[in-house]
Amino acid sequence: MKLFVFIIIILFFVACDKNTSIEDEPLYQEQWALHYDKAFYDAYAINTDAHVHGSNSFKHYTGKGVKMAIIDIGFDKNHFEYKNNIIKTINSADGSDKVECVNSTECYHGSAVTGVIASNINNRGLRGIAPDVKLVLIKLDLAGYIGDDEILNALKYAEDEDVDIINNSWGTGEISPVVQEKIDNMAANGRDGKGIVFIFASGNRGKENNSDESMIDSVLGVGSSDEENLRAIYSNFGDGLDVIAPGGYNLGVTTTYDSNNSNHISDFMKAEDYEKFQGTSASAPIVSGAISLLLEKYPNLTRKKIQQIVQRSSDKIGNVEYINNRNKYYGYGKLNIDHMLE
Amino acid sequence: MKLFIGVILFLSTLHAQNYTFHKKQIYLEKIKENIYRDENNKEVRLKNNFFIKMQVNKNIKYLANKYDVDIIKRYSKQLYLVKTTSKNMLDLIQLINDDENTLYAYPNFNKKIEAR
Repeated sequence: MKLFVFIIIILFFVACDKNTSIEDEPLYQEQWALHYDKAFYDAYAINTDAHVHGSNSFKHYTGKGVKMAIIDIGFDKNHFEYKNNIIKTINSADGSDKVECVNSTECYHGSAVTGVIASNINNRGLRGIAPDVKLVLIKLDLAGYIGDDEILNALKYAEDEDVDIINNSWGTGEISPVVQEKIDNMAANGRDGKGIVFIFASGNRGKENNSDESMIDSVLGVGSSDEENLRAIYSNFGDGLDVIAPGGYNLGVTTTYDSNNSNHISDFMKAEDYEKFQGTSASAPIVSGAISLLLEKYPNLTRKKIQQIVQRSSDKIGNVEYINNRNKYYGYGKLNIDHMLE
Repeated sequence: MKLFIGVILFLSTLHAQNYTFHKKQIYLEKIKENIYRDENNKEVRLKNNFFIKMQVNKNIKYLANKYDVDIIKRYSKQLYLVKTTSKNMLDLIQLINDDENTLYAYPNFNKKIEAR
């Protein structure tokens, strides 16, 4: 009898574990960029359409089978929200596995980007858009001056790991021909000829910049929308901008915090925190995570086809006219994940 | 030949500040070693090396010898990172950019990159 009760209890706990849902994540309510939560939206007067409309997709897809590189300033590779997703860490300066961020006031950055993409469903914090995506974390020392040779090295490391997607929440504002040729080549020939998907943040100066990495044709250039479901005033724009996604204005995008940095009170950056994760750097990983879900569903899509799907499925928000489905402030519109995966 | 190139480089430093690399015009006014000012008065830094992209089936070794540059790294069949001891690196890059054996030569700009 005792054995029988014991087995029943074990089965009960196993069943509970399998039923762990997104809604059980303690900070899910705060993830306004991903879904509508009436209480939170009312409290902060957020436009009801300000999120990326992904609730249905989140139930069915997690980024399983997809490999993504994140190139950033450094990472907390032991953060409990995504450490199980990491398959490799690479310091692009010396090829070592040391990717911790040092000597910067923006050391939270790489971990914040990673948390948006890959935070696990574990009842401990938040839901990443693609909680099962595999990660290659590549440190590029954004804190100092960097040569194009160092950017080429970081890209080559990602290429060697045979990744499907590369998230880049950084940019130079002035892409050089050697870097553009490398990106164009990987975007055409990577993934066994299907092309690696590059996502670049457009920048936060509120300016037009057509010579940035985010504006080249082979890249998905990502700008930001705000809580009013309009282009965020700081979001850079240009002829090559493809899509916008929530980056916040008064609020940030809820995500993980670099535990190596002692200036913050928790392992997370909440939307309303004083030190919040805001800007096109926050918007880009939302798009990268969404592409992971798309590639889980359709693994053989080419990079070109993926760009077309993103462009075609985006919502035409804002008060700027779309000519041939686009304009330079909103690109092809705001990311809509459920439409994208239809 | 090397002497001839040296004389050209010396003469070019007397006034040249406009360059055309990879079909793109760039204005650079020297402030100090490896630090310049562009047409927008923005500070621009250069590393002590630069890129050469060769024409298909052209030999980098011939070019390296001709212009007295050392190959640091090969990035692809045609793209190389090279270094020079020349005091007039930008002028040398311009010469190599204009050489019929190359597709282009381009400085390795040292950039302050934004985490966004």
